[in-house]
Amino acid sequence: MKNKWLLLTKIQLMGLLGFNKARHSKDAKTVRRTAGTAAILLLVGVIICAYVVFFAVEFCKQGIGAHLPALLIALTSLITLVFSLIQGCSVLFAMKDYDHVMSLPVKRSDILISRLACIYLANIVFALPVVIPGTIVLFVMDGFSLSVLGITLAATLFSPLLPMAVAIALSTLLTALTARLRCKNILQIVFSILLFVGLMIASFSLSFSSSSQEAIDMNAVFSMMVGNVYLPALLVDMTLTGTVWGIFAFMGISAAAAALFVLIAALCFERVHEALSVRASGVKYSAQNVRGGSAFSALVKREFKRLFTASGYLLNALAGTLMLLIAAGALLFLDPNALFAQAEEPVPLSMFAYAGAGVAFFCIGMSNPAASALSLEGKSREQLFVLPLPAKRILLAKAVPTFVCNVPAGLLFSVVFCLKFETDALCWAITLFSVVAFSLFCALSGIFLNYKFPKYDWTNPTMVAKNSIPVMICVFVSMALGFGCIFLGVWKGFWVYLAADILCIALSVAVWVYLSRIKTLSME
Amino acid sequence: MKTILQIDHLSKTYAGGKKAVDDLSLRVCEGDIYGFIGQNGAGKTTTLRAVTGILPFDTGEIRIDGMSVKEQPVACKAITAYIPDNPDLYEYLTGIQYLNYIGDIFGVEKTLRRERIEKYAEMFRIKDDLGSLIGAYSHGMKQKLAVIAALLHAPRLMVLDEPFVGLDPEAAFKLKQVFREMCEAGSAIFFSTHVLDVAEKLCNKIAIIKNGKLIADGETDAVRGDESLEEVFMEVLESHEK
Repeated sequence: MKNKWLLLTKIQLMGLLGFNKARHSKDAKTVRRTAGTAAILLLVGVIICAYVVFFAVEFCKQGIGAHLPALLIALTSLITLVFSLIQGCSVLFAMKDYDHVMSLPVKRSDILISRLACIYLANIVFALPVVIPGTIVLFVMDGFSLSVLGITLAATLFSPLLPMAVAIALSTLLTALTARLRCKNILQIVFSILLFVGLMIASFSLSFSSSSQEAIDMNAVFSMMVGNVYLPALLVDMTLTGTVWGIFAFMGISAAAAALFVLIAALCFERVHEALSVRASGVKYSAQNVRGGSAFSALVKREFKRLFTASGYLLNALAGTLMLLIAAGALLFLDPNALFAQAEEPVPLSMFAYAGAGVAFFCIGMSNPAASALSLEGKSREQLFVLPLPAKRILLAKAVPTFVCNVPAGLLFSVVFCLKFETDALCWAITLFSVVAFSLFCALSGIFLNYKFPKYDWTNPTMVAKNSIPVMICVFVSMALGFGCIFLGVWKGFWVYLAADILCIALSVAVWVYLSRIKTLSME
Repeated sequence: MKTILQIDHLSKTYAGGKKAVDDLSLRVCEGDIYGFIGQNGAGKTTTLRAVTGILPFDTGEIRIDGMSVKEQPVACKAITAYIPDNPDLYEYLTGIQYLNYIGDIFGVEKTLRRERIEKYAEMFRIKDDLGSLIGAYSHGMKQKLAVIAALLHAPRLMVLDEPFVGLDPEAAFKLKQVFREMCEAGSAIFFSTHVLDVAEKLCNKIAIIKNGKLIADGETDAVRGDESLEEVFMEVLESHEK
């Protein structure tokens, strides 16, 4: 008999990205949609490759290429950690197919391993376009080395294990502890972000304290940089710079962490699932609960209710919004002049005056529940689609939470930023306006993309909320726009943002017109 | 008759504080078609989920063919089939891909697998649709596919939650036939239902559950007496409310 964890993994992988569905579907629309998904993923991969090549060439030119593989491993591990923390434990527990897999004659450890294998493969697929081009550049510029190839390969294959195990274990604990509280979803998001900030601070303090004596030459500085990004990657860096046992320690720690996690999680799999499935006790009905209102406000209220009861949806809504609030809070205690105090030449604060809106773009793009709101209806979508309301009204109601969550957080961050960076009136005006315009664009484009690329056959809402095509496009576009505006803003601040705002408004109007032309929402 | 399913003093309280099953004991023997009836929220599904090893329970013991569900869960599941009330099948798979997956998991030999798939797919008139995506199936077709998947490894014990919901009359009739054939071959069926007519005509044993407690059980004729099962059910419920 085949390994059962392999069978379970195979079945889950067949559901990813809709390739099996496209292969067997008679519907040309489904096939086109999957081809579009593949093309977008390929494009993202190519852009990541190009960026890494550019970065690696500069790194090698500085003569510090030996640290490059370790830094790439550190970056991919950090991203695995962040995404695993954001995804939380719902990737392992509280899945829709829990009853089905648990009724099969398979060990709990096989179920856990199959689910971890899927997450692992997704992380590896992300790590490869980062590590492969960087390593090729290193070999072209500094010469081929079999040992470096072996170390990089081994480190890449083992790198997702530790961050996955740590992040899922922490978020499982957090979720189980807050499962019976009424505001559990908000608490889980806030604690997840605090957990991430805490891990980063711990990593920074540990690596700085261990390297403070060596921080005098470039090599030591870059070793420290690797440690700052992700502490265990220092072991890879040590091996690349001569200490052979480092890679074995890295592989051993990673494998041991994953094995320990599977062992412990298998022991309490059902209990954790039950704890996560518990709903807080309800409030008794009273006649005052009967209220009246417009159809649109009823839809919007439902969206907000859903926002705070579906963790996948909330994760998508609050990650960037909370980042904006945390950044605004941190800025209050930060003196921007102190950032450039040690620079050889004085750096005028006005140079960065327009960066505030760019940072806000970046965070707002990460908070787009509209991009998954339609998909999250899943099998119950027919209840929504049969409502005697125009399609546009239903879709717009789904866009409202994105706008309402992002605008206040974005404006608060912008006000603090403008105050701290002592910007002029023109910069104040364009920054605040840009935040509102971009929030509007995000909300409308999010629901438009979700309408064009829906995914209703999910087994885990977090997968839709974090990994679906509309969400990826929104995050990617806002990252590109945010970074672009930050860099170009140094040169022609006001005009760059004005152009971005005009583009956002024009596209928002186009989406509005498009939504008006949709006659009905179809089940297909 | 050999006992296939033995539940002793089963109790389950959910983390929210609700006692779903309270000291429940019953036995399902070889050849039994055992109907489990009760109101909504009485504890039927909780009991069925505990039997299939999906739900951990607080106290008591469940044994399938002599093996403990707690101590030997994989061995118990290997001889059991479970069909939930609303089977959530993988919609991105085709029917045949799903059946092959179940066949692989249960280790059903290839020739036997083909034979059983053809037999049951023809019986439930779904053979021509096995190449289509499950996502394109109607509720009844999904139910039929779940039934075929459950029959694939010829289970000793079949546990079903409302198995007749969504099935067309012909499929429901054939499923009852399959139940009888399985029982003649020495298996046992344990299923929940709200359709008292079906329970009355199909089951040789019946249990009635209310608020997690078993309030009546035994041979169908003995439980029913001279009345209809519907009348007995209402009487038993009312007498336990007083």
